[in-house]
Formats: sequence, structure tokens, C-alpha cells
Amino acid sequence: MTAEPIRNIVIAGGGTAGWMAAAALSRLQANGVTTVTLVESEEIGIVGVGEATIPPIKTFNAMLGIDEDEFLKATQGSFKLGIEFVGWEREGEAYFHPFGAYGTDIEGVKFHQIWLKLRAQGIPVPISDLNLSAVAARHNRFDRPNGDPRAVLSQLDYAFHFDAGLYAKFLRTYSEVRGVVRKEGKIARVEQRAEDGFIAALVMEDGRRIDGDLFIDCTGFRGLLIEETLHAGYDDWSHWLPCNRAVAVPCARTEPLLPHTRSIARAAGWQWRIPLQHRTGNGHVYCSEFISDDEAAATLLTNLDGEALADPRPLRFTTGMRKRAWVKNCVALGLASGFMEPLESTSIHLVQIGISKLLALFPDRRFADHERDEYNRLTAIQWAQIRDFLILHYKQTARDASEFWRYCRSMAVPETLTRKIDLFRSAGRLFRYDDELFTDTNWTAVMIGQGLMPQRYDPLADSLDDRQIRSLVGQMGEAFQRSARQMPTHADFITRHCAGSQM
Amino acid sequence: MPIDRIVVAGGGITGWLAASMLARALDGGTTTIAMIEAGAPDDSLGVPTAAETLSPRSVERSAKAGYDENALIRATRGTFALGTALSGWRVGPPGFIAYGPIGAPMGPVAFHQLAARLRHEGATVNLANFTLAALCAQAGRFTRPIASDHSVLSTLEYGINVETAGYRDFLRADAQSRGVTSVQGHVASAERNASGLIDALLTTYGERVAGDLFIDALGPTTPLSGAFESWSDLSPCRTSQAALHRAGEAPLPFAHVEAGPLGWRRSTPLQGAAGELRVSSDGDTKIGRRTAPWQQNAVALGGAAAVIDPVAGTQFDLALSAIDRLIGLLPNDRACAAESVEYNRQTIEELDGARDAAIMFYKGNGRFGDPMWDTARDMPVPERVAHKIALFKSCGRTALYDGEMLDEAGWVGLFEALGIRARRYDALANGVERSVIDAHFARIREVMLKAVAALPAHGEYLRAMSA
Repeated sequence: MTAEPIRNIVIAGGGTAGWMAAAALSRLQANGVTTVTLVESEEIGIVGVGEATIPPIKTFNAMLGIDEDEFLKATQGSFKLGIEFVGWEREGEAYFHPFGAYGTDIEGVKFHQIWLKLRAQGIPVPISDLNLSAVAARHNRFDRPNGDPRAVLSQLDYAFHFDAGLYAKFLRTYSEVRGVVRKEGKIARVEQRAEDGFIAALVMEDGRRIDGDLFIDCTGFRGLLIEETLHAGYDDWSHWLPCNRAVAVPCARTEPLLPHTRSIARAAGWQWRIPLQHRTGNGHVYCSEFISDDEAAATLLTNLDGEALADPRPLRFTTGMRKRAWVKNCVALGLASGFMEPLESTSIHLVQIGISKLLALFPDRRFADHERDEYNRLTAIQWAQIRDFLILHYKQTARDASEFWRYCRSMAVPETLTRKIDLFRSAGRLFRYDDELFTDTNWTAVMIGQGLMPQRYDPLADSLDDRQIRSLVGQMGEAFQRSARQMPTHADFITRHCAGSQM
Repeated sequence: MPIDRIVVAGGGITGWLAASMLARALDGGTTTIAMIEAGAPDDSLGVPTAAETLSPRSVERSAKAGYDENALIRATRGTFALGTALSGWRVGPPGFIAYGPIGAPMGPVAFHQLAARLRHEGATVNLANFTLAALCAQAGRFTRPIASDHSVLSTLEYGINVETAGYRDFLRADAQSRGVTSVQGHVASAERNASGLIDALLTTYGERVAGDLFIDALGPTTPLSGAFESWSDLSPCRTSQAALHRAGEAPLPFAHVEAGPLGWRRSTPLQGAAGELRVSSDGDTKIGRRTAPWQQNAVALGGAAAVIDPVAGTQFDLALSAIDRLIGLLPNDRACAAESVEYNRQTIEELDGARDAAIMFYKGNGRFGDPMWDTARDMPVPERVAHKIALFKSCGRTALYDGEMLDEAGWVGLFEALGIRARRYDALANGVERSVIDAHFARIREVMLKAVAALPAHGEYLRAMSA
């Protein structure tokens, strides 16, 4: 039983991924042997596309012991109750993809089946009325669940919008206080061990050498360590998710401050709108085969609801993932590990689960194959699940006025997604595999929102008493309305608890 | 064409379980359920047994379906189960695979990882000493968990041991009271239409039983069989013998699996009796599963779908889980296209997971010098079993796959009982002061021992229930 603990962990690249890793790994220094060093250059900008998040981010913050209000102040953050998808099913229609669950299951029958049964009986209740986060978002209201599981408010779930640059800064302070050493400078080359190709050191432009046992590649799309040095390979998914460019621009904040992200379908892609305290983040994600960069930028600028605060910034990407995110003694996180468009705000989540897997499977200096294989196995499962969910938004649509959407509607999709669609279409059935991130509510919201209505409901719902379920659903809708009306407005809640400094 | 008539073939425990569960789920609807029953020995689960154990998950499923637990226990000479004792599997003291959590974590660090650190630093730690179900089992005491956040007894999980034949009769009575009809006879053949769908089953007495959906619970020798994937080279189980013995009135709350030079035997305690299963390595039992348990409008359940090595005692749990899954996927037409694909996917994952758990008992055995066990230890195993063992040995983590019945604590308990240890422990376990870990351990043990000491003996608890 000889353990040979990792001595120096070297994180290449600051940015959101790098500082999230530094903050989380800093606790490994408790053994007195391990140290964490982060190398970044002020001359290299960060991409920081992931300004909107999903509820598990709260777990990450809790793991670090971060106070939520302090974090929101520091990052000009706001609350997020879900995403409004505008024009995705067809032009002129919109749906809300909320956090938290739709209603509650009754006697083992899933709530959405009960909803389908009511609908089949000619009692159409909008499904958004049956989720507290969706109801609160409609009224621009927010309140924090207080932990009492009996309270209606406990049904609310939320995540955050924040400025990713400020988040990186916030985590930098957190990490440095906990002993992470930051080294400024550009990496000139990566030195590998002759005997096995493991990375031995980063050599800086000024000649400094930074040795390490374990390297975390957070260098962005290029993957200086994982791809340029270790040739991990890349699985290209652009035949399923054809958008390959984005243009981003901040604009002035408008009132009211919405507690949700908006995603608006455009002729060759979609536009995001992320409300922060000090500004609104906007971007247009598109496929360059169907629209020029100039047109894409013009589309974005003409569709802002506030004054543009900077020049539009272009981004290029190829959707897909590294074939192996962990190769030899290098683990890639963030854009270095792959890219999926921020349609469901999963970028920061992918960094987070990469870190928690790394902690769970943390190696020693022997670097056994098994930990690496398990990390890569789980990563492949998790990425593919998110991929399928994103593809659903494009595949399941009635939009057909442009070449881009006609391509998406008719494209072949992964068999795993086809199976999900077939089962839902047949009787609204959903199954969750391998601890999948997305739950029944997520899939139901998007499938129904995109116009995929099951042909019938589950026959098990027939065992429930009709009058009883009608009255339960009616009461639930009223309780959510009451609860939402009692909440402060989103803007008031922020002013009271977590207002950032005026910028 | 809708599903109006369900026909269940095979009147063993599997068929009656399916009939009874379906009748309960479809209560209030118009679907009819008919049983074709033959008075043959009951091999419908795969390997004939005198007693079976319902895991905690199965107990939950049974309650969810609406069965009265006390009535079930009365009808089956039932006892409570807190886990399984293993002896003879390696040199050293017996092991115990307990239900429920092992110790309690500290923040993000699992208890067994903390224990691994202490062992690394030279301490002797037996995980069973910090596992509530194991401590109760050791003391022969039992209670159902107490619903309170403040009591350690809220973490207790239990299964139920039942007499197989009594349970079958209980399920038959339940099904019949819910309108399930039955026809006596052996199934001779199936009458299929042009597209291969079954229209009716024909019995040896010449009766024709027509239906829309057919449940094949006819056991391993079903005439409705499809292609079979053999796992015989992954299991030394070739012959099994089941018997019911008389036993005293103070049953232990756990089953005991004892390995010997030529095989193993499982003893399952019942009220006033014990079910015994002996398994040895010469004979011709065929272990394996159908490549597609649900084909068109015929669903194979239990031994008709798979024969799983009974060492881990999962065959009843697998049958119940499959029926639950079928109910969740009841089709609305006879072609069953989307439903059968999904059903087969999930069922195959679960069966393969059960196969892997059984393999672990043999692959991980520590009986050196017995040819049967030496061969079993050296047998080549599926890639994912090899990965699971290697990963655990390397860092104490468990690779979990969809559909497995064991959760992380279950696998850790199995590895521990077999004496398989990790070379290293969770890096985060170093973030805690040794004295804090020691105090955490001492407190868990103290709280658990105190709780156990106040419990009634298992036999007393059962007597009080029936009084």
C-alpha cells in the first residue's frame, strides 16, 4: 500500500475553467505534499461564453463554501428560473423551460402523464402553470426556497446568470487565499518525458520551467496540452449541431430585470439574452454555411433591446468533444475538452462535473489506467446525453422558412435520441439513464414546447380518480399563483440581498 | 389493435406474480388476464428454490403495488433480512454484505474511504462494525426503520425472506380475487399470424387461449424460446438442489452462504423452517439469457428470460423488476415496437449487471488450493467486470453501470466481504485531521451500538407482529 501522492498540479490557463479547477483542487493541498499552480497570461483574453448556469452550480458553490450573496455581488449576478424559447417550435410561438419539477407524481403515476390525461379529457391547463419557477418567471419575481419541504416555495429551483470574467476573478481571490500560486506569462512550449510521453513541464516564454505531476489543460479551443501535445483527437458533432460561429455583444440593462434567459430562434441559428445587474449579455449563434458573418452581426445588433456597450466579438467553434479528455497525466477542462453551444447553459456545468469526476478518481503518481478509463467513460456518457438534448431543439421543430431549419428538421439524429422521441411520442414515456443531468421535467418541457405531443397517455393514469386529479391540479395551479404573487420582484430581491457595486 | 387480453403462460411464482401485479395495475380498466397453469415443479424463476429473498428495493416495489406486508409475511413464513453472511469464501472471519449505508460520510468523503485511510495508517477497521444492518444482524435483533431524522434507525433497510411455494399461493389467491381466470394445461405451441404475432397458445389438452399480449413464465425450458446467450463459462453453477428443512423458532435476520470445496450452499431462514439451496460444479444447468426477452407480442419473464447464477440471490428481484418495467411500458397495440426495444435494452442491462455481481463471488474468491475455486478465480471475465475490479483495487472507486441492482455501498460491501482491498484511498480523505476521523468513527459506533441494544430480538419482533 504505497501511495505516491501527486506533488504539483499545474493548471494551464486562467479563465472560468482554470479558476474553477484551482478553487476546487486547492483543498488537496491539505496532505502537505500537493501544491496547485495556475499559469495564465493577462494578454490572452478569456472566452467566457457560459454566463448562464443550471441549478447544480449551487452544489459547486456549496462544496467551496461560497456564500451565495457574496458571489452574486462580486459577479454582478442575477437569478435564473429557466429559459424562454421564442420561435423554436414555429415563428410566433414561445415556451418556457423551467427549473424544478412539474407538479408531483401521484401513486406512482408521473405528473406529466396526469397532465396528458386531463388534456385528453379536454381540460387544457398550460403546463407552465404547473411549475413554480415558470409561474414566478412570468411575473418577474423571485424568492429563495427557505428549506422547509412542506412549503409551496420549496418547489422553486434556480440557477444564476453572472459575468464569467468577474466569476474567474472571484475564484482567483478564493484560490490564492487558499494557497494556489498564480504565475503570469505565456507558455512557449510543453516538455514531455522521453520514456512515456507524459508532460514533464511547461516552459514559459521567459525561459522559466514549471514542473508538475498532473496537468490541467484549460487553454481553450486549441487544447495546447491535450491536443497540440498529446493528440487526444476530436469527435466532430457538427452534422448534428451545425452552428459553428457566434457573435457576442453586451448592451445596457433594461427594466424589468428578467429572472430568466431568453433564447430566440433566428433564420440560421439563435440569439441569447442573459440579464445581469450591470448589463445584458447577448449573442447570436449561427451556422456560417447559411449566413455571412456580417449578416449575423447585423441580425444581433438590430435585435438588441438596449444600447450596445461594445463592438461585437466573433467566436468560432466546432461542436464536439475530445475523444479522450484525460490522456497520460493531462486532464482537459472547459473549451479544451470540447464545445457545445450554450443553448441549455451547460458549459460551466461540464467544467464542474469534470472537476468532481477528477476529484473522485484523483490519481497518484503511478497514473493507473483504470482511473483514466473510468473518467473518459463517464465523460463520454455525460457529453452524449447533453448533446442529444440539444439536438432535440433543432430536430423537433415546425420551422421551415429557411434552409438552415429545413436541414435540421430532416437530419439523421443519434439512435439514443430517436428512441427517446419514439417512446415519448407513443405514450409520453421517459427514462433516465446513467444519472442523466436532464430529468423528466426538462425533457417534457422541451419535447412538448417543440410540438412533440404524445399520441396517448400512459394507461396507468386510468387507475387514478378523475375528479381527484382535476381538483389536485386546480389547487396546485392556484397555490403556485399565490406563492408567486407573494414573492418580491427579481430586481427588489437583488437590491435587498446581493446588489453589486455600480459600474 | 389494442391490448384487451393478456395471457400469462406458466403457473409458477413468476407467472402468478405477473398476473397479480398486472391485475393490480390495470384495476378499473377493461383488460382481461388469463393464466395457463400446469402443475409442474416450479422452475419459473430459473433455478428452483425453497426460499427466496426480496431485497429492500423489492420490498418497496411490493408495497408500492399495494400488497400488505404483514399478510405477505404470514402467508410465506416470512422473516426479515438485513443482509447476507458469507463464510468459507476466503481464509479469515466470515464477511457480511449488509443492506443500507456503511457508516456515514464526512462531507464529500465516503466512509469506506476514511476507513481506507485509517487502514493505510496501520489501524484495523472492520466496516461491518460501523454498519447498522450488520450490527443488528450480529445481535439477532430487528425493527422496521423509524421515520425520524434524529434516529440512526431511520437509515436501516431490510428485505424479506419468503417460502417460495407459500408466496406463489399468496400471489395466486390475490390474482384470482382480482378476476384473473385460469386454464389447466401445458403449453404445446403458439399460433402465429402472417407477421409472426402470436394469436393464441394451444395447450396439450387441445385448448386454444387467444390473446393480444403473452407473458411467457414457463421457465428455462419454454417452448416459446428465442435465441439464447450462454454464460456457462462465467459460472461454475451446474447442479442445484433445493430443500425445506424444519428449524427453530428463533430465525436469524439474514441468509448465510457458505462455500465448500465443491460448491456452496445458501441457507435462508423462515419462521420454523429454513430454505436450503446447494450448488455444485458438475451437472448441466444452463446459465445465460435470451438475446431479446420481449419479441413482438410475447414477453419472457423469470427463467424463460434468463437463468442467473443464484449465488447473489437475485432471481426473484430480477423477475419483479422486469414485471414492474413491463407495467411501465404497457403497449397500446400488438406490435409493441417502441416499447419492446426499450424494455429489452433496460432488461438486458439489468440482467448483465446481475451476471456481473454473481461473477464477482467466484472471481474474487479466496479459496486457494480447491480446483473448482482456483479455476473460477482464473476465469476470463467480461471487460466491465475486469474494469470494476481493477478500478476498485487501484483507488477504492466503483464503476457503476446502468441497471445494476447494487449501488456503491452494495459493491463496497461485497468487495469488503471478499477481502478485496484498494491500494489507495480518496485524496480528499487527507483533508480531515486524523483525530476528527477517529472521533467520527467512535461516535458512529457508539450511536449504533446504543440503538441496537434497545431493539427486540428478531424472533420476538415477528411474534409480536402475528399476535
